Amino acid sequence: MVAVRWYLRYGLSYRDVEELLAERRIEVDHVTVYRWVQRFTPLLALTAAADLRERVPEIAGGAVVATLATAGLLVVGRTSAAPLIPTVVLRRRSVLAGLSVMLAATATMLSMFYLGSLYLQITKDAAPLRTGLAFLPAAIVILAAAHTAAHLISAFGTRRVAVAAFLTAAAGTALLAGAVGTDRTWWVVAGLALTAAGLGPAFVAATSARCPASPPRTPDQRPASSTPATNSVERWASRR
Amino acid sequence: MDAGPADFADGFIVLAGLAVAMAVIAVPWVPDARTPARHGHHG
Repeated sequence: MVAVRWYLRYGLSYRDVEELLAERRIEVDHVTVYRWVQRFTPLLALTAAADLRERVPEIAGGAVVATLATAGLLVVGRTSAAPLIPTVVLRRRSVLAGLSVMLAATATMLSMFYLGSLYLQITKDAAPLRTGLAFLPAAIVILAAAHTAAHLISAFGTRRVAVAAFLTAAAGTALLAGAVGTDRTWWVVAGLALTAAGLGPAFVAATSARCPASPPRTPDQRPASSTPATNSVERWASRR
Repeated sequence: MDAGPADFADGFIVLAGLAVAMAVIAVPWVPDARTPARHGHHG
């Protein structure tokens, strides 16, 4: 079964598989590998489909729970005298735009960390410390880019910075997609850093997008749409 | 099944697609406000 999977997944020839098996002291002729592939491919396809089908309830369940939790938050927000997020705030376009940018940037960042570290550890057999070091340039770049973004926004506006930020993140993830499966491990590090260079400004654009519509702030009163995380990014970015 | 390089490449391509989609959506959606760069104190 493993031999058939190697053949199908990695685009090896029957002779390649024969050689790989021989390295593991399993003597099998390439014609036999061919017969196995003919016989077991439909079975493997069925198993893969079943695997995916098994996960559908899990994925759908997560989406349902998230939707219910959001609905619950909105109901509490409408009925509570002192809501965490006044629902009227969510009707403002600038707030919704800021939240969308924040959601997309967070989704991209977490997925990048998840996929990047799994890739380096599973496929490249990198030790956890080495994997962490591969993310170090990205961590530095994301902070520096967020800092620069505060100034770029004052010069070019939130919209342009947000667009440029997401295009940069797209270029970074495209670089990662190109580097995956090759020996260009440095490209992975560069891809992570380039994606981070886009995400830092995206976070700052997200918080700045909702600023014009927000009421003036006093030190003890923060806009209801911000979270401690966005506040700290904004604070950091605006610090000089 | 273990994840292979192709799975990771697919994942990164999805992320690139998400980022491009977000860049396109941001054009009409994100307000074009210019906030002054703040210096000194912050709340």
